This record gives sequence, structure tokens and C-alpha cells, in this order.
Amino acid sequence: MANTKEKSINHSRPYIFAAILLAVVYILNAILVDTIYRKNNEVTKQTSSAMSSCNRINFGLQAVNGSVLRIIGEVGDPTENVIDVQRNFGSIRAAMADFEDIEGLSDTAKKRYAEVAKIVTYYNERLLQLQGLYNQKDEETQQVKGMDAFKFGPKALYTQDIYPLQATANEMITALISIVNKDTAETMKKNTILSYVLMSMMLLIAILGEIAIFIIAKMAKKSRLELEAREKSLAEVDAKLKSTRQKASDLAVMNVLTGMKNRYALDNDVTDRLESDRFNIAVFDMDNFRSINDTYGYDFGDEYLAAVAERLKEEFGSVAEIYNITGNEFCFLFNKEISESQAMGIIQNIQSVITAPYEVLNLAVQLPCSGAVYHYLPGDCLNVNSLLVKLDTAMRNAKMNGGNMINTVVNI
Amino acid sequence: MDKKRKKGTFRALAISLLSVAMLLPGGCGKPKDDKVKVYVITKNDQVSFWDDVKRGAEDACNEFDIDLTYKAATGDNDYATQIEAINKAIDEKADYIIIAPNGNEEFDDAFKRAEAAGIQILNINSRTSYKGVVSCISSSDTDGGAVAARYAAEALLNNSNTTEELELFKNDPKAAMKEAEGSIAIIGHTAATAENRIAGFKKESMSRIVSVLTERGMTFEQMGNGLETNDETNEKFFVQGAPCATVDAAKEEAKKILGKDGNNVKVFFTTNTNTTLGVADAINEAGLTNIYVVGFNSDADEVKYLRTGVIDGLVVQNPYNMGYVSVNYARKIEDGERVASKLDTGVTFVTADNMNDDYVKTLLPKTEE
Repeated sequence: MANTKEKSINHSRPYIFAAILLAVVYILNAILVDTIYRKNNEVTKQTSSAMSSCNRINFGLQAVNGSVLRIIGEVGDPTENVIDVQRNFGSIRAAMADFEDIEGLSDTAKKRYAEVAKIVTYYNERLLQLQGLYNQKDEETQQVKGMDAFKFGPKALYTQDIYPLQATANEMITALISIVNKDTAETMKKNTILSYVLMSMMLLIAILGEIAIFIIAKMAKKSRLELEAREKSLAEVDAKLKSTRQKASDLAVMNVLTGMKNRYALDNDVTDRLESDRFNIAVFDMDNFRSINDTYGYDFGDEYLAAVAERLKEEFGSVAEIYNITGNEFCFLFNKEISESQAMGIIQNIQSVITAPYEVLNLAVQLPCSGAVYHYLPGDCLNVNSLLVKLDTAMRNAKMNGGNMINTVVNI
Repeated sequence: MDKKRKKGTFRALAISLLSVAMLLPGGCGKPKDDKVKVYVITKNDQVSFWDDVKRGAEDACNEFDIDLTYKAATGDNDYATQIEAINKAIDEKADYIIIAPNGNEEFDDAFKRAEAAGIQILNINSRTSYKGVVSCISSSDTDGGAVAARYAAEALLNNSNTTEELELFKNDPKAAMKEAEGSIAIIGHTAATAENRIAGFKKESMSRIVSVLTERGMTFEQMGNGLETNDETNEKFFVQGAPCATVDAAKEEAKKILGKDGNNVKVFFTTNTNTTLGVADAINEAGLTNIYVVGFNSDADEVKYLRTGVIDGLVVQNPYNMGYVSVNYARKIEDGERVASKLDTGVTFVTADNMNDDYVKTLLPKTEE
């Protein structure tokens, strides 16, 4: 279960990474776009302030010009016109101060503004000079001399000396406005290009990232399939190993020739029962079997034993566990439900089967056999070895008495 | 997927990505146009005035990303070099020619060719009579002459022994007028601007003389036969030398007018740098100190004479503004804006008293600041 969970995490890792990468790219993108948006806002605000200041300076200059022309042309109240000039210059100075307070203007804009400021300041100085000239009063009459005293004075002074300053200042201000507009357009353009470059880079990073993740995921899938194939192969090897081990284990408790359990198996099956169980057990051995080996060879003898064993398994496999404990010696451990009397009957049958004629390699052979039976009571023997000694002793006695007979182990 | 197919897929993917990356920033921008080409052609390369014009033009070109080609003629009569520069501007497909012409009708053919090639023509400093000139950025020549006259008159009023002269005017106006004849000397240069400056100077001088005399209590009758309106009478106040193109020529002409003792000249008016320097040289060599010398422009040598008192006042134009505004006008026309057919960039009368004022300092050569 834990293994499956780990596998699942491993498989989803590239997709989690892809999701994180996408999120990072989008967050970065959002931050960058926001930064550029803010910068553009600042530039717009700055431009708006600069434009406002420039326009105020321009309007102020035009208003001053109008007032001065009214003074020269003696239109309206001269005192009010003089006040207008002063008031408009106050507005111009305030607009200039506002412009100077704007941060982030380009050096070009600052340089051009310096030219504007120089001309406007000088224009103001010259107007004050004109005003002084205009305000000269006749010593005797204390009347303003104005046009009467200087027939062409103030008008010539203004139109020849002073007015061009205002006209040039206007041109410089329009140039300044154009510079601010150009700077703004350039900054906006730079920001736009920057945003496109950044967004392209983000897009590229995202695409490359996704491609990398796709490739990684594909490689991971391939690795996973390889791993699974290897696991499957290992499982097969493991199963084979287990089977081989089982076979090896079976061989340890089995007689290869007859396919019956051997002496070790008998040990395993009976040892635990010696102390507590009551059972019937018998052994049989074919009399003078050596003569078969000597006469026909061991291969023939083996074929003969295999035929006998096969027959015994067929006939008595259901009533007893049959062991081939030595060469031609068979042991029958009867099932629990088989009573002593039944066991005695079966034993007779076993002897009949063993001693029956067999056709081995197209030869009919027949040997007598001797046996021993033991109605075992709990605690009779300490181990299987002593049990078999008792049985073998009884069987040897039968053989010594001519063979072809069955002895019973007597409990002492 | 076999190896070849895989390689092809990756190649196609890479090309697609590259195309997208290139299209994203490039697809939204306006293709960059060629720069506007401006030719600025000035009168000569010997005086700092034209360096300032060039500086103003360069500033404007830098500020508005305009391509500038600058060419100066070798002297005030050298229109051949200027026409050659116009032809070059036509060959190189300039958009605007800004020229301070060393002549008038001499340029008609060249201007026609330029116009036919789609080039717009602006004048600076002085205007030709060619009708196709879009705008002229200059200081008014007549106003410049008038300013010189006004300040000269005021200086004379403040400094001269006017009481005696006025008494003479009152007692014997004819004798007084006779006495004043030829007291104002003028030497102009060879360009058309000189005529306008002299005209402005003369007109304003007469106005000033009338104003001063009126202020002193003289009547028109006493001034003699319609002083204000009679040109023949007016001309008697002035002695005018032959137009001069060089400093040396102006110096020789001034010597002729002044003689050894100044020849009763009280005011000497000149119309450009060369004539001003020539007259100043002559006065300086003669050691004449009671003549009010008023000239034009702010060449370094002129400013030196101003400091030493040989020259009393200079009518200084603003060449930087001329250069700057003329290129700015070209930029405005290019942007579809309207420009004035004439812009007066004004003059400033510079004396030893105001030459250190902040604004005035900007009009003088840097070495003199």
C-alpha cells in the first residue's frame, strides 16, 4: 500500500512541478505587468503636470503681452493693467515652480526649460524696466508722462526689445511641450517593448518548461514501464526460485525413484505424534531383492520397485501414508480412522500386492516379502529411530524364519 | 517514434517558438521611419555668431532626433558655396534647407530645384524675396537698427553738452542744424540686411532727435523745415560710407569718414561684425574717445572692444535661438503643425553696464562670460 502511494507521488511529480512553474510564471508576469502599468501611470501623471505648467506659463505670457499692449495703447485703466501684468507674472512664476518640482524629467526637457526660464525671467526684468519708464512722472505736473513724454518710447522699447522675448519664449515652451511629449512617448514605447519582451520571455520560459516537463514525464513513464517490466521479471524469477526451492525441499523428503516420501519425511510426520497419538504402522521389505539386481541389473531392479510402488500408491494411498524408507523397504502409516483390525486386514492385502507378479521390461518377476506391524501406543518410543528399530527387528525375525510372513511388534 | 521523425518534430517546435518570440515584440510596433534630414547653411565660418546658430540647430536636432548637416560659406559674399550646399542637399534628398542667404535673387534657381525635389526652405537671419520660403526666423533688421538708434540717442542725451547745442537750436536753428549735419556716421555691410538695419536706425534716430528736442522745448518750426518728415533734411544728419564686406575695408572706409580728428562725428553706427570691428579698429587707432560707437553682433573681438570702451553698445541677436527655432519649425512642419511665416527672435542691446547680467552673458561668446 505504501509502495503504491510512493509510486503515485513519483508519477505526479512532473505535473506538480509543471503547475508550480506555471503559477510562478503567471505571478511574475502579473508583477511585471503591474510594475509597467504603475510606471506608465507615473509617466502620464508627470506629463500631465509638465503640460499643465507649460500651458500656464504660455497663457500667462500671452496675458502679460495683452496687458502690456493695453498699457502701450492706453486702453483701459493703466493701473489695472499694471496690476494684471504683475498678477500674471505671479501665475507664471508659480507655474515655473510647479514645473521645477516635477521629478523624473529628462535632461533634454530640463535643459530646454532652463532656456525658457532664462528668457521669461529676462522678459520680466525688461517689463519692469518698461514699467519704470512708463511710471516716470512729470516733475511739475506730477502727471504720468507716458506716451506724451516719450512719443515712441515705450511702444518702441516693447515692440523692438521686449516683445521678441515673449515670442521666443512661446516657441521654446512649445518645443518644451514637444520634448515632454516625445519623452513620454519614448518611455511608454520602452515600457511597452519591455513588457512584450518580458511577456515573451515568460511565455518562452513557460513553453520550454512545459516541454521539459513533457519530456521528463515521458522519460519517467518509460522508466516506470521499464521498472515494472523488471519487477515482473523479478517476480517470475522469484516464483521460479520458489518452485525450485519447493522441488528441492520435496526432493529432501521424497524418494526420487518411487515418488514416495522418504525416511526424513517419516521423521517429520511422526515425531510429534510419538508422545500423544495412537496409530498403526507397518513396514514391508521384499525378500531377497538383491537377487533381482544381481540377475537383471540395477536398472531393472529400479523399474521393478517403481512398478510395485506405483501399485501400492494406487491401492493403499487412501488408507495410509506410504514411505519408501530404504531401497525396497516400504512403511505404511495408517490413517487415524483405521482400526487395528482393519489395519491387520489391509496389511494382508499389502503383502498380496507386493508379492504379486509384475511385468518389468517384458519380464515377469515375483518376489515374496516380509513385514512387521506395530499398533503403537502413546509414549512407546522416544523417537522415530527406536520405532523403526522395533519394526525392523520384528521384520528381520520374520525373514530369519523363512520370510514371506508378517510379524507383529509386541509391546513390552 | 523513430529518431528522424522525433528530430523533425523538435525542429518544427523550435522554429514555431522562435517565430512566436520574434512576432510578439515586433508585431505591435510601428516600423521606424527614416530620420528627417535638415541642411543648415550659414553665411560664414569666421565669426562666432554662426557657431551659436549651429549650436542651437544641433540642440534641436538632438532633442527631436533629426539628422543635421551643417555647412558655412566662407564669407558674407560667398553665395556660390551656399548654392553648392543646396545642390548637395537636393542630391542627398534632404527634407529641409535652413539657410542664412548671402544674397537674394542668386538663390532663386537653386530654391526652385530644391522645391521641385520636395524640400522645404526656411530662412534664418535674413530673408530672400523667393516666395517659396516657408518661414524666416531672424531678428528684425529695422528694429535692430532702431534699438541701436534709441540707445545711442539716450546716451548722447545723458552725456553730451546739450545745453549749448540747445541754446544754439533756440537762437539759430539753421546754424544748429548745420552744426548737426554729418554727426551720425554709418557704415553698412554688403548684404540686404544692412539696408534694413540702416533704415531702422535712421528712422528711430530722427524720432529720437525730435523727441529730445521737443522735450527740451523746441518747436518743429525751430527745428527747421519739417524735420520730422523731410527726408532730404533728415539725411543731412548722416554721413554714410560705402558698404564693406571685410574688417579691413570697413576700417579704411571709417578712416575716410573720421579723418584725423573725428570730423564732427558723434555717433558711429555699423551693421555687422566686420564693419563694427573695422570701425572700432579705426577709432582705436585714431585714439578718438568722444564718439558713441554702436555695432551689431557679439563676436569675441567686438566684446573685447566693448570692455575697453572703444565700442559703447552692441545690438546682439540671439543666434542660438535662431538655429534652435528654425530646426524646431522644420520639426513642426514635419509633424503637420503650422508655423509663423516670420518669427522675430529679437535683439538685446549690450553695453559695458549689462554685459555681466545672467541673460546677457548667455548671448556673448563663452570666453567672454
